[in-house]
Amino acid sequence: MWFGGYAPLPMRLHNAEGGVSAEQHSRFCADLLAVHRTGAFADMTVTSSTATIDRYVGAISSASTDRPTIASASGVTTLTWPTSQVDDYDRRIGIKIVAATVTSNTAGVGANCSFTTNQVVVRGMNKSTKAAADCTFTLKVWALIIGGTRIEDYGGDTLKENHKKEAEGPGAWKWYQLSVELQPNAYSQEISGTIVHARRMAFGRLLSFTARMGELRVANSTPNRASVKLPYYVELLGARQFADDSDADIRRRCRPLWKLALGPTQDNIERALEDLLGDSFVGLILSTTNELATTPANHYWHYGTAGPTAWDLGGGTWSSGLAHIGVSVTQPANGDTASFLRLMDTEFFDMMDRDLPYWCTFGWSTTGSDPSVSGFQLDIDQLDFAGLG
Amino acid sequence: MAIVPAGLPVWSNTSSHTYYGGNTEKQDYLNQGPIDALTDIAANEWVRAAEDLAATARTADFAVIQYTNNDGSPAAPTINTAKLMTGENLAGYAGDAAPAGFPSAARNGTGDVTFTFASTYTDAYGVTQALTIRGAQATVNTTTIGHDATASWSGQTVTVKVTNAAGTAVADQDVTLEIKP
Repeated sequence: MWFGGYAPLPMRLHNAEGGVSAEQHSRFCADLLAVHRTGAFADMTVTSSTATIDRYVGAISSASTDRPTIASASGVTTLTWPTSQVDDYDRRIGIKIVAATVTSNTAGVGANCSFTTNQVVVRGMNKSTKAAADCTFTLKVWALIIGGTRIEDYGGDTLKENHKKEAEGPGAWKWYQLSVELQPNAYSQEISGTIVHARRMAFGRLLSFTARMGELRVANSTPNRASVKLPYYVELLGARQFADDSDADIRRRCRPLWKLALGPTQDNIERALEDLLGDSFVGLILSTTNELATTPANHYWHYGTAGPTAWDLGGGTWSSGLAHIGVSVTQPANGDTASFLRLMDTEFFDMMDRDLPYWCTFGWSTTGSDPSVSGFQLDIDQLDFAGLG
Repeated sequence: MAIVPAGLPVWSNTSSHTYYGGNTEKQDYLNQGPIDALTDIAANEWVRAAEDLAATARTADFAVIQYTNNDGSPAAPTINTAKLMTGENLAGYAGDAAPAGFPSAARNGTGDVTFTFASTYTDAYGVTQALTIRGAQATVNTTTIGHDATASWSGQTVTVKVTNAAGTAVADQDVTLEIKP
């Protein structure tokens, strides 16, 4: 990302000295998210004897209209916030307090507090007499998270990379230089403050925009880097969508579907699973053999090798270990269980069920840090058959 | 291939504006500032963002946990809300059945619990960084005056004790705990 008039938004990430690299932007996103998660909703210092808020900082707003009302009597101070506040971008945000800490700043007086949805009550106590007492206290209050909750909210993506086409300098500047060359020397050569400069700047930015439009078209020719055409790929590929999807989520889901359109070869399946599952993907568990003189384990078919009668739904048991694709996965350390299960039980199932041949079965199993040790396996061996029996 | 962010996660206590592309020599390309306020970002605006994020990161809590002691029917405390730099749990959980990535908590006695944090945590890009606990602060969330909470820490554990005005352990209290990296 170059800065300034030659490099209009959107920001372009590159690792040249004058810009911000993809690595730096990624750290920015991760750290901003981290501090945002534990950041206080409000931080203030209050003198209870006079019911005065001496210092107030609000995460959403510090405006007088967004500060709490205060009432104090006999060492008990009640602070009540409006039920919602408006942030810097005119979004109205409901308030739900979830935690609060208080520290007395008056010698010999302790303090604690209770809270409800939009109210905190602080109680001071004289440590010697054990009676309620006024004090000055510092109060921090946390509310449900407001604003960004994922790196994608800040443009982050684990696949982000440095831009190359404008890494040597903004396109607008190159077009600007061309316009200088095209105009006779009689025109001003100043690069600021003249009408000629302004026209060249407009010319440069216009042509830079058209160049970017070409790049936009190329980027949107597959779902891998698509932005404006993502809804098209969702429809074309029949990708599942969820209410909380970011564009990065949709790209991650469309990418493997696009690859599997080439056919479900082992290589394509592996690459599609890498795209869909990311860090969760460990590897495929395949049963392969060229030796068919002896029936491979877990192979049963009509009027051939009979399986256990308990597995037989009628007409003989059908089962093929060779036609089964096991997928070994692991839950990322920084992932929550609900997201992991949605990935495996919905998104993974959607893709495999649609793109594998009808005679192929599949399942997934968890693997810990030791890849040789597998956890609970679903749809493998006798589990589902026994369940049906 | 997944990107590896610059620098280290926030709780390493090394946050710097340079992690985010800040640079004291940063300037607009050819010194041409923004032309369109709605499409352009200036170098001095980005370095302000980089510096302010670093400043906020330096003083941020690693975790804010609001929990309830279970002393009447002795059991591990119930974590009502856990806001960690690495994730949030707003649904709550039992201290002895912590979801992956969240601290466990055990009851030592009346009003006395110990939280155990992992030695390392992983950020949103999969970068793992050791957690060193350097401070803790607790407040009893109660309507009774005089109840007090003290927090102490050692290694990856933080112990919180709740007492009343007389200094006697008190049961079944709600507490908010801040963890400083």
